[in-house]
Amino acid sequence: MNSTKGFIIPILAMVIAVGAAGYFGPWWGPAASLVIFNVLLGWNSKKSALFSGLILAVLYLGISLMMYTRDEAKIIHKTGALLGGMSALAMALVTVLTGAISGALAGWTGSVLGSMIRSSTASVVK
Amino acid sequence: MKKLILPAFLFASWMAFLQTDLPVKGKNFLPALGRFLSPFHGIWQNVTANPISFNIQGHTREGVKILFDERDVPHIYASNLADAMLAQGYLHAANRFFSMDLSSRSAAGRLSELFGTRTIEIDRKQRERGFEWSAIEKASHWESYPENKQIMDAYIDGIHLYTRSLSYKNWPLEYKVLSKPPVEWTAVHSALTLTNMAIALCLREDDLAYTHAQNQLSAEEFAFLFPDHNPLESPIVPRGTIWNFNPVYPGKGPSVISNGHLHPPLNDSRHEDLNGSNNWAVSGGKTKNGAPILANDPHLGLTLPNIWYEVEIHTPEMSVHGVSLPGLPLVVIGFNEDIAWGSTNSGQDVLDWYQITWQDSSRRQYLLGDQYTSSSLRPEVIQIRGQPSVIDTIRYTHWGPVSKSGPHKDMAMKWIGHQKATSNDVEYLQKINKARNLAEYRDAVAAFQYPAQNKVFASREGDIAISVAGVIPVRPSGLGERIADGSNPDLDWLGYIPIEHALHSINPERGYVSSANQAPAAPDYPYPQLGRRVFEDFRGRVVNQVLDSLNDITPRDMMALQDNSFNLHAAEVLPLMLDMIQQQNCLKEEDRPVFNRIRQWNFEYHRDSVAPVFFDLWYKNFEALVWDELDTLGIMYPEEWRLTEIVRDHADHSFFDIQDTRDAKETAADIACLSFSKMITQYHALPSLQQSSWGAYKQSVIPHLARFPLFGSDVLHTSGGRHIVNAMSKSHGPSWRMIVELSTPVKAWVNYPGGQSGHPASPHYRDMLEHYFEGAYYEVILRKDPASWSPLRQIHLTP
Repeated sequence: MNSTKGFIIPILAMVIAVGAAGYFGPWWGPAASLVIFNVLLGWNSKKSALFSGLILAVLYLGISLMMYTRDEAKIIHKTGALLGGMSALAMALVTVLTGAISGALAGWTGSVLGSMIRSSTASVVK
Repeated sequence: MKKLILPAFLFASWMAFLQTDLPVKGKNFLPALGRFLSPFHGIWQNVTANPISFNIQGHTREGVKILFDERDVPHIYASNLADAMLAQGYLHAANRFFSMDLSSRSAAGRLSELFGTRTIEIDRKQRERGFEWSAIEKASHWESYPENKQIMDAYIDGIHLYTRSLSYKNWPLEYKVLSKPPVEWTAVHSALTLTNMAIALCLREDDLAYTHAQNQLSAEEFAFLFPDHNPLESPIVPRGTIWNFNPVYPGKGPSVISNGHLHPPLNDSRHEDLNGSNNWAVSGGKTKNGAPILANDPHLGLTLPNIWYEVEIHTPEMSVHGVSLPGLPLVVIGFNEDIAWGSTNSGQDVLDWYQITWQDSSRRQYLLGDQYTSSSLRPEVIQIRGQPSVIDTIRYTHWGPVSKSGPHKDMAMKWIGHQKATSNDVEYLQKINKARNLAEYRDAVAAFQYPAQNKVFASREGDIAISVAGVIPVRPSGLGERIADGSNPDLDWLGYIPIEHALHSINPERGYVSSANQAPAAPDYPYPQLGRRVFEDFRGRVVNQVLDSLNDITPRDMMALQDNSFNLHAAEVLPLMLDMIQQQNCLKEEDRPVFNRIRQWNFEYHRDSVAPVFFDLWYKNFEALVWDELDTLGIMYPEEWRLTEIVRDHADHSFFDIQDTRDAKETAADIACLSFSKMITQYHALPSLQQSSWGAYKQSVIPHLARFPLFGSDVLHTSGGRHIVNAMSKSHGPSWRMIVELSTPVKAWVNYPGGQSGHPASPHYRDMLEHYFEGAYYEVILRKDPASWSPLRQIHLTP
């Protein structure tokens, strides 16, 4: 139970922080917030990369789908066609892929950076 | 530390990749994907337009209410003009900022900053012609009129109020696709907006074409093919008008020296769609309810969004409704509580080219009179997206800027748009928006500078009038039709036609005034260069014939006239062509159904009719076969009315002889047979859909302003065409239709092809388009009291 909580709470906190960074910050805000979170969490690299990538991909997917349902003028379809013949679905996939890669790389980097900081802090304490 | 290198490197590289615009196929760009695809900021945020109500605080003196009606037309209620102008600037920017930016960039020669190398030749040409240079001068000229400066400043403040509130998230879609931020608007951009309109309306390039034709043809041939006036023309100021003045500068100046070393023009622009228009006003004596009626439909290249933005403005000094030109304040064509006004392009020749004689290859000193004079140099830096900038130096002479390349190489351009302003465009707009009667309309017209326009007017007091407004040069005889010798200072313009000699017609006996880009006056007008040669020859005659025949006129009659699709050109030339086919007995039996269909045609260019397709194909072939000699020599074609005359009166003329058939001598009748046969072949080669009707054949499309595919209209089946009152061609035609009845209160019926919003996601992006092509109008009455009606949304600008 505790381990589930210890997993879900950070995930939820990350989702909220990433969402807030995306909404209020620059386009790279979500990735930056994921780096910071993973520095603090102390997860291993694989776990950080996997969940960070998933979080950003799911968030991007969710918002894209929400906007897609409002797209009565087919703006995404038309823009995709303009930028090389992509369909709206392809635009959504590229968006999700961009989020997934950004999140995964941010998570990996944050995890490695966190472990470095922790090991250097530990050696100082010793 | 080593462990960090790989993920940090990959992460940084990936983010840098997402931050960078990506060149594609050498000329295009993909926007930086990071922000573009971000669902929080990027293109996903542009799928809705959110037309909502909101407040903006702290920018106006006394507060402004903006109420939007069902077509999203804003009704601005302000306590002073400056506040109203701030609101208008805000609305223009909020709905059309990309259009404004693109229009000013197009005139300035700054498209390559957005589009890269694709537009560099356009930019180079615009820089060579000094449009930005003259716009800078114009903007500083505006500054010298305190009252108008106040209006411009307020208008630009309104634009800034919108643009400075923008973050990437709410950039217009086009900026996101192009990955460039909106420009910081200044008065120079507004001046460029006006310049762009002037480029569209008064930058005729016929001097080179005429010079080339005169050099290639004998004097007799030239006079035969290119007479000065169409004897059938129905000028704006009716024939028989008595001119009770003598022209200024009579007969001054020598003849222009021809030049034998010219390159022929690259193409004949005279067969392209012309920026024309129709307007007329009928007096109360001809209308059913005794109130004058005014109608106007300016013809321009059509785009989505439309060039115009409809607006209603209420201040203590005026209540006005009409269309405005985003980039400029006030209403350009419209009506107020007392008068209505409209414009057509006058089409006057206000551009001359002077051949420059340089002292040496450095092109610094040029011959003027008997000595060499220094040209002034203006460096032009053309910034090109994704490429190093190109630095060019433009030479300015006594005449104007000198072209460095193309058919006008080493020629200086003297253009009305480059001349020192003698009046203020904003002053004209202010005066006409506030005008109450004929005297105030005439006062406003006197303040108008360019592009020269036929300004029609009607008032509730019962007056109607039309004025050829704008400064028009008086030249030495012969200048204006040929390339001039730039070393001869005597070939300069002598001055301008004084306002008291300018053409106008007030309350004429025939009960109406009208213009449709025809010659403004008969050849006996004391300034004979005005109205010579290339003008529209058919629409004006149809308008006048209809207005002559009508009495008890209603607004519905005026709508029908704006939608009139009768082709007078076809009515005059087609019977001659059909007769020749019959005389020659050259019709094949299998082609008889087509022949009969054309013979039974009523000359209406209705979208569901197939006969216009036959005529269009047949006439094009006929014309090309007749003028094969001119094609060989690179000479422009004579006007259509002249070909009709030649077919009728000189059917055996040597021009009808086809050059390629050396053993035979063809006549007009032979050409008619041959072209008919070609037409049949071409018709059957058309895709089956295009064979079905004129609308399907013409395939009208209203493209997106920046030619983004899919952001324009679908294919539209439209009636009308060239030389027709309903001048709708493929992508060019009536850009605004307005009919105003000067009753009490004033009533109007309006429409335009597009919608109020420039945002493709908005329901108002193109909501009037289909109605427009169905011939529908929206009734408009000035809504002076904001409490008397229920808006769909509101914006409040509070002090």
